[in-house]
Amino acid sequence: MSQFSRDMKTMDELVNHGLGEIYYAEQRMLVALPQMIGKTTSARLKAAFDRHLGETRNQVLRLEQVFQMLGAEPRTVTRPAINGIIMEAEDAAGDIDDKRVLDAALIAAAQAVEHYEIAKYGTLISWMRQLGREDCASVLTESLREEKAADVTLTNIAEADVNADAPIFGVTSEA
Amino acid sequence: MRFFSRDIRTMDELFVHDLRDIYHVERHNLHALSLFSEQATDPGLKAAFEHHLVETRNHLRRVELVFAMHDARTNLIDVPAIDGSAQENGEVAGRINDKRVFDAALIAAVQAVEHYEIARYGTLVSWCRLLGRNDCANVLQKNLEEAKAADHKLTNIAESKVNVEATLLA
Repeated sequence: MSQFSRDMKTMDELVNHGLGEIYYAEQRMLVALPQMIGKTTSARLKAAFDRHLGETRNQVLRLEQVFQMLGAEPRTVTRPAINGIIMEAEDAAGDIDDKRVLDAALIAAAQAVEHYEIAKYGTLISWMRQLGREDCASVLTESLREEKAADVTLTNIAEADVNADAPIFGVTSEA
Repeated sequence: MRFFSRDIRTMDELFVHDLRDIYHVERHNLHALSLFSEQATDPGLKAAFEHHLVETRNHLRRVELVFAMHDARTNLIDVPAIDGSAQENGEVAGRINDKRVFDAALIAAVQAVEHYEIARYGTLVSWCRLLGRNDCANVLQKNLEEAKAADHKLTNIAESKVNVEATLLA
C-alpha cells in the first residue's frame, strides 16, 4: 500500500504530508478518548481524559486552520504506527480484569499517543519556521503545549493515584 | 486483534508486557538505525545515527538485564506501532528524491520512535519504583535519558542544518 500519491520533492510536500498524519491521529483520538473515558474508574483520570477530549476537538480545528493558511484542503494520511498505538489503547480493556491495573494501562497508552503527537507537532513547528511560516508555527505551538501538559497531568495521576492503588504482585481478591 | 497473550491482572504482569514491548522496539531500532546511517546524506546526521546505534545496543543489554533481574523471559510480542513505523519509513525512503528532504524525513521518523521510547521508559521507570524495584528503575532510567538526549540532538541537527538546506529547495 502506498502512502503517498506522488513523489515528495520539497519540504512543502513533506509538511503537507506531516499535517495529514497528525490530522489523522487527532481524529482517531476523538473516537478513542470517549471509549477510554468509559473504561476508567478513576474520577481524576476520567476528568483528565474529558478535558483532553475538549482540547483534541480544538486541535482538529487548528489543523484545519493551518491547512487553510497554506491554501491546502485538509486531508488525513492514515499511518500504521499511530493506528497501532491507538488500537493498543482501545484493546487494553479487553484483557485487563482489575480496574486499577486497567487505569495504569490506559494512562500508559494515552501517554504513548501524547508522545507521538509531541514528536509530530515538534517536527512540524520546526519545518514551518524554516519555511518562514511563523503564523502556522504559532497555531501548532498551542497544540504542542497542550499535548505536553496532558502528558505531565497523566504522569501526576499515574504516580499519585492509579499506580499506588493497583495490585502489585499476585492476583487480588477482587480481580 | 489482541496484544496480550493472556489476561493481565497485576502491575507486575503489565510491567513485563511493556518491557517486552520496548525490547521489540529496540531490536527494530537496531535495524532501522543501521539502515538510516547508510542512507543519510548529511555527515553530522550520519554520525548521530551511528552514535545512537551504539547506544541502542546498550539499551538492549540493559533491557535484557532488567528481564534477568526481574526473573522474566524476553518473549517477543507484536508491537503494531513500531512495525507500522518501519513500514512507513520504508515507504518514505522509496518516495523522496531529494537527499536533503530525505534527511529531514529520516530525522522526523527517528524522533517519532525516540518519543515512543521516552513514553514507554517513563512509564516503566515509574512502575519499577512502585513495584519497589529501584534497581530496575535505575537501569531503565539510563535508557530514558539517552532517548531524550538523542531526541534533542536530532532537533539541533534538524534546525541548524538539515531543514535549512532542505527548505532552500522549496
